Formats: sequence, C-alpha cells, structure tokens
Amino acid sequence: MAVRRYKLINQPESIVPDMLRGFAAAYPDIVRLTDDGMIVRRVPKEAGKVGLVIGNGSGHEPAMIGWVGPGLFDVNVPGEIFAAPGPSRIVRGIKAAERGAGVLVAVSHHAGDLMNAEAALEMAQDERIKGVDMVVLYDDISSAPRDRIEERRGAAGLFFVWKTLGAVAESGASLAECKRLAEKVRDNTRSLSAALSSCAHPVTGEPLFRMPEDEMEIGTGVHGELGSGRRKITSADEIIDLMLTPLLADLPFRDGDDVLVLLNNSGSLTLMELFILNRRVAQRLDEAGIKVYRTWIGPYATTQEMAGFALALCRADAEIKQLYDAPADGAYFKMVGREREGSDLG
Amino acid sequence: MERTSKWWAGSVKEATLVSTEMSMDADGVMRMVRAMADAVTEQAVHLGHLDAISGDGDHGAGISRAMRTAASNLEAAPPSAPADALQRTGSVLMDEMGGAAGLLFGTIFTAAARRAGTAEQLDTRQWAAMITDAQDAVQKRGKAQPGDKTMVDALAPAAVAFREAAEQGLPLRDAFELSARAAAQGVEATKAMLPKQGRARFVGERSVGHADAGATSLSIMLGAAARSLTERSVA
Repeated sequence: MAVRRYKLINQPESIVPDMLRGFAAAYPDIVRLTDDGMIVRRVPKEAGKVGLVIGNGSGHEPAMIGWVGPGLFDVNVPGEIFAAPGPSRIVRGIKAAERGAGVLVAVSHHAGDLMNAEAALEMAQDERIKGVDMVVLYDDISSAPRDRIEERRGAAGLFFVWKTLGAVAESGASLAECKRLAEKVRDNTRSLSAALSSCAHPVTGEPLFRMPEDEMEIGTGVHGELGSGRRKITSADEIIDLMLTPLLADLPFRDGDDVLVLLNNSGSLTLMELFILNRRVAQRLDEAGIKVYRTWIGPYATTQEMAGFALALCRADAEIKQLYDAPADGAYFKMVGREREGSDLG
Repeated sequence: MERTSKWWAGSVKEATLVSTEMSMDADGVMRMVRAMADAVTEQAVHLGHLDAISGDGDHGAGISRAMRTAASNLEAAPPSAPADALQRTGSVLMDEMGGAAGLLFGTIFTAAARRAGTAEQLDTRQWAAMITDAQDAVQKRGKAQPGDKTMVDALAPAAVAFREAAEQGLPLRDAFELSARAAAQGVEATKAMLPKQGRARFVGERSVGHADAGATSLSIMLGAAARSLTERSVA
C-alpha cells in the first residue's frame, strides 16, 4: 500500500513541541504543558499518594499524553518521535509527580525506554530522591516465546495496566502495592497485532517498513517492528481466528475466565472495521466460555497512519474489575466510574 | 619512528607521522564536536537508510540534529574545560536525541567526561583511558557484547587501537585516526552479524549484509575527531 508521505507539520524539528502546545491548548481543564515539555495534571494529585510517571517516544498519540489526569498518570514525559526521553528529563518528571508517598516509573518494555528509565533511577538515587521505583511492562506475544516472557515488548495491552494502576494509586495504595498491581495486570494481559499497511516516519517521510498492498502481517510492533508472519489479506473473521488462537493459548485464558477486551486502532482503520472484528472476538470468546466483562474499542496507542489493530485481553479478577471501573479523567480516556451492570448480554 | 609526508602505511607498527598534535584542550573538544556534527550531518541520509533496515530509519536525522545542537551550545557558551564540553555534549545527546541511541552515544561522552576530570589538556594516554571507560559504560548500560551488531562492535576495536597508540606514545591525531580505522573495520564486520539487541533482533537475518547504523555513526565521528586535530594544527 502506498504510504502517505506528506504530513501536516511545520518543521521536522518542531513536531513534538508543536503537537504538545496544540494538545495543551485543547485541554487546559485537564493538563498543563511545563516549560521543559512535560504534560502534567492541571490539578495535582492529593499529597500522600503515589505519583505515576511514564516517559515514551512520541508519535503514538493519544498515548500517553492523553492518559494524564485524575485516575490515570500524574506526569507524562514525551520524547522525540519513537525515541524515549533521556534520563534527566525522566528525573524532572519524577520530581513533578512526587506527592510525598513515592513515585513509580512505568516502563513499556523497549530497549530505549528501559535503558533511559534505569539511568534515570540511578540519577535519582545520586540526587538522594527517596522512594522511586520502576515497573517494566510487556504484553506482545509475538515478540518472544513464552519461556522468555520478560523479553517481550510493551504494546497496546498495557492499556489495562495504565487504567488499573492509575486507579490504585488514586486510592492511596503504597508504592509497593502499586507495583504489585501493575505486575499482576501485566501477568494477566496478552496482546497481538495485525498490520495491513506501513506508515511514514514523520521526521524522515520514509515508510517504517514496506509491505505489498494485498498482504498483511501479524505481530507488527508499535514502531513497525517486524512481525512474525505475512500472508494475503483475508476476512475480518479469519484474521481474528488467526490471532485469537495463539492469544488464548499463551496465558492461557480458560473456560470460566472473565476478561477485559481491547481493540486498539493502530491508525487508519475505521470504527466500522473494528466493530466487525469485535463481532468475531465476542463470538469466539463466548464459544470458549470466556466472559467479557468490559470492551474498549478505539485509538489508544497508534503508529501514525498504519492500517492495523491490536487485540488485547486481560484476565480480570474482582480487584482488577473494580480498578478498571474506577473513575478516570484523561483527555483521551475517561471512565465515569459509576457501578454498572456487567456487559454479558447472554 | 620515521616521519614522512605519508603518515599511514598499513599498520600501527609501520605508521609514519606528520602530525605533532599531542593533546586537546576545551577549545579542541569544541572543535571536535563541531567536526563530528558536520560529518554525521553529511552522512545523515546514508545513516537513515542503514537504520531503516532494522530500525525506524531516523538515526541519521536524530544524531545529526543532536550533534549540531551540542556544537552550537558549546560555541554559544565556550566550555571551561574539556570535561565540561564532553559532559554538555553527552547531555544534549541524551535529552534531545533520546531513545537507546541518544542514551548510549551520550554515555560515551559523559563517561569520557568523568575520566577527563579536571584536566586542562587531554593527551593520547588520557583519551585511551576515556574511550576505554566509555566502552565499559556503554556495555554496562546497553548490555551488548561484541558481536551483537551494535556500536560496541566499532567502539571496542577503537578502544584497543587507542590503547596501542598510547603505549607507542603516538600523537593524539594519529591515535584518533588509527582508532577511526579500527572502528571502520569493526563496522565492516557488523555486516556479517546477526543483531542481538534492541528492536533490530526482530529483523534477524534480513539485516545480514548491511552495516549497523550506530557503529557506522561512531566510526564517522572518530574520523571527524582526527580531522579536527589536523585542521587545528594547520590553523
């Protein structure tokens, strides 16, 4: 598929600052852009609660700028396009998130994100900033086999971690409790993606990868990392069947489990296509005796205009369900937080 | 050692030298950073294409931009000492380039700055220790070993060449030149390697036949460092 090479930008060097200014101008009731390029909550979290920071490469909007707000992150440190922010910037983020109960740095597992977070924690230690910890998160089953699970990449499934981690920190849980919850949700989450097209890197204008127009790829990473298998594009139902089989087997998800479902738009699929995909997801899970507790469909972590999606499942116990349903108010993720009926339409 | 107009004759043992540049001061580091910035900028498109084979293709644009910013910052507020210039360059790479590459290239400069300490002048022996420290720091941070198809495959031979040059008491310019040549050979060797670190590992065999982008940048920067010393002795 031909890649749209020209984007509506001003200068390649000003993409990130221009985007952040426009974003902050749109949502002044929720966020504030700091002088050093961080997105922070308009109203800081109450004192005595754990602060949550995430640094990440830009180019995945609305992740993660759209996830700062009550019930979610305190601070997002956006880096350059697809490049994690440097350690001293993360340390500034840690200081901005500190509310007297420690700070947890969330890391979506990619080489640059991990190295910069590790360097930041060493720097924080050198500066004698107390009570800082990090949690490394991954979910993409295509990126490493199950016996090397800690080598897997972070991908769209971290959606469930962010939501529940935000809620548990808001509830006043300790730093250790927040980390435990994040690891628990990570360990119950699996995702797999499919791409039908590449996309252009906003700085170079070059495609992230090349793929024939009539082919698709399973397992493409959120920065266009090479996936595990290419084939001719097939029907929505067949794609879901191809993806669900390995996804269900990996945890494994079993008859009787309750799950949260995410269908994340990687960029340019239509909602129509995502709903058609979800029809098959719901049908297959029902056949497997797996009960869908909540589903979220939309663009959460994108890869520019890539045509594709990720399917993520999280096995949810009572704790995860309660935290998932807790209120949240980010610019691009909101949860009203009232008690709702389960989504089982039987 | 015999000195003729041809400084290089194929190996360290046979090297014949014209350069008498023995050390680098703060001003020299600033000049070196500018030369590195110019060199990676000239090669930015090539570096981008190399990166596109196993990465997202923006390495050339990223390192060129960060090095130009670092050079301009030094020229706007001249460094107080070599370590100051190196530290500030490392910080710009980490903060403005970001990602794994920004952190690791930045680490080369900050580790070198730490070893440089308060010295006003850096000679071949000091640079050999600085580059050795830089290699250690990069490997510690990135957890890459030689043979993983990363910048370490250029940095490790460059450090060896620098230590050999120091043992022979060679002038700094020649040490940088030998080091750059060793790095270039290291870059050549990366073509046959299978990537084992970062996102490149997902590409596997498709990257065979192509040099690693980070190793290539490093070798270009070492070559530029050598030339910056020549330019200085001419000036």
